[in-house]
Amino acid sequence: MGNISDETLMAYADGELTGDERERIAQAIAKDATIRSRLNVFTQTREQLARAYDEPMQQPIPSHLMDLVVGKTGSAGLQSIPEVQPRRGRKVSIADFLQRWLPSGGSGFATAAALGLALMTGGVLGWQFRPPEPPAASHALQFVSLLDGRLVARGQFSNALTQLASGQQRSWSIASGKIALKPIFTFRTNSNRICRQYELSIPAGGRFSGVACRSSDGDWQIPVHVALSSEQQQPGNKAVPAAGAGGSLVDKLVDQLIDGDVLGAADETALMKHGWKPLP
Amino acid sequence: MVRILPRVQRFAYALTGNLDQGDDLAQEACARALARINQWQPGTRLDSWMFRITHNIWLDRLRASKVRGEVVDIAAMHNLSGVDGRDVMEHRQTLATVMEGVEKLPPEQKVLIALVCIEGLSYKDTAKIVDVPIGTVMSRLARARKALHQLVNRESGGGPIAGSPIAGSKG
Repeated sequence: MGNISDETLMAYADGELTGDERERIAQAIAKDATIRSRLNVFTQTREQLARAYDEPMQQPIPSHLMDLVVGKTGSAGLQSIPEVQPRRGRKVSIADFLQRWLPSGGSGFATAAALGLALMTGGVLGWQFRPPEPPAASHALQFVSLLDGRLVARGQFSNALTQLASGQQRSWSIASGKIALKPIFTFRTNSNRICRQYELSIPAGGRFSGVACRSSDGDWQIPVHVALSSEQQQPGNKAVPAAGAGGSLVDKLVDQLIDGDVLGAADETALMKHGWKPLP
Repeated sequence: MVRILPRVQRFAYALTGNLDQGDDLAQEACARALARINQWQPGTRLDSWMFRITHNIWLDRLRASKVRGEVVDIAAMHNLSGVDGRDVMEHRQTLATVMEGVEKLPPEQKVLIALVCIEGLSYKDTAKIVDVPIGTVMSRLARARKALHQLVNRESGGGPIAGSPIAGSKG
């Protein structure tokens, strides 16, 4: 089957190969231990690098950075953006701006409408704890439950979403290590619900991104929760690259749902005091 | 842009190898991006554009510091691995070693590590950001990762060492 270059193996590890070539490499990997150990160089470095630079970042985004982009009172920092006309006194928002200019969909998965629908029907785009090792699976039950077909955050997961300001992180221990959750930002949807994007990391080293939306019952429903980690090692040494598609999926969902701007710290605090009920 | 912020911050951190300097770099990149938002081409990715700005500022700073003969902030580097080392878990030591290895990489390899392995960008997007052909991206990136892998395995008492020293190779 010919020689396989380091570059090709790396491209396989990074999810850059498609079709026949990908299949050819997968077969070579399955057959040949030498190739597996060469591939390992690239899967391992990628995984280690992603983790190494994440750990020290587990702290709130510095307020000066946030202020610069969001503005202290919400969207002031962006009001000087040219080419965007305010509509009927509405605030010019980042989301409007992005939504208007970013290409919509087009990268081969669900359409915007389908993404929007996922929330309304409680459809689940994916709850990916790692391939269920017994401890992880049993703990998962403490943090999430199924209510009328919808995933709902429970326990510490729910508490953290309720109590933490965006950018703050809380971690808690389970048998296999620590789970950490950090709300990234809060926004209002076009159907006047309050949602929060968050990141979650688990002891095995995986990172996940998702959106939690407050229901009228005071639950946090999870319309989307996807893996951010670049690879998942599967049994049989066959690397299955996901190439970080999860993050952009969450971004797209947020883009579809968001109404107005990401909420500023003051608005968020006010919401928190009102039990996350959308203000009229 | 808020959504991209944590990634810009992490990217800047990976480039500078230092939280304070990373913050500083990210801040300047955001300020520049906001000032030049009208130069951003609608229809292109905002994150790529931000990474490109960040990368350019970083390169400018590298050049400037070479001229001024500034030295690397060694104290900060030690502090960084010290934080990780306090934990007894072996994997933390490995991650610290990985970061030290990234520090030693030449700039043109470091940025590829940051964009592809840390930020998860495709080779194509990465090639556009750094303005080199995709083939060059791949050969530099493969070289950098082999060097890192070697370093980590050597530090952890693993396999034998072969090949070139980590910072010796040029893309």
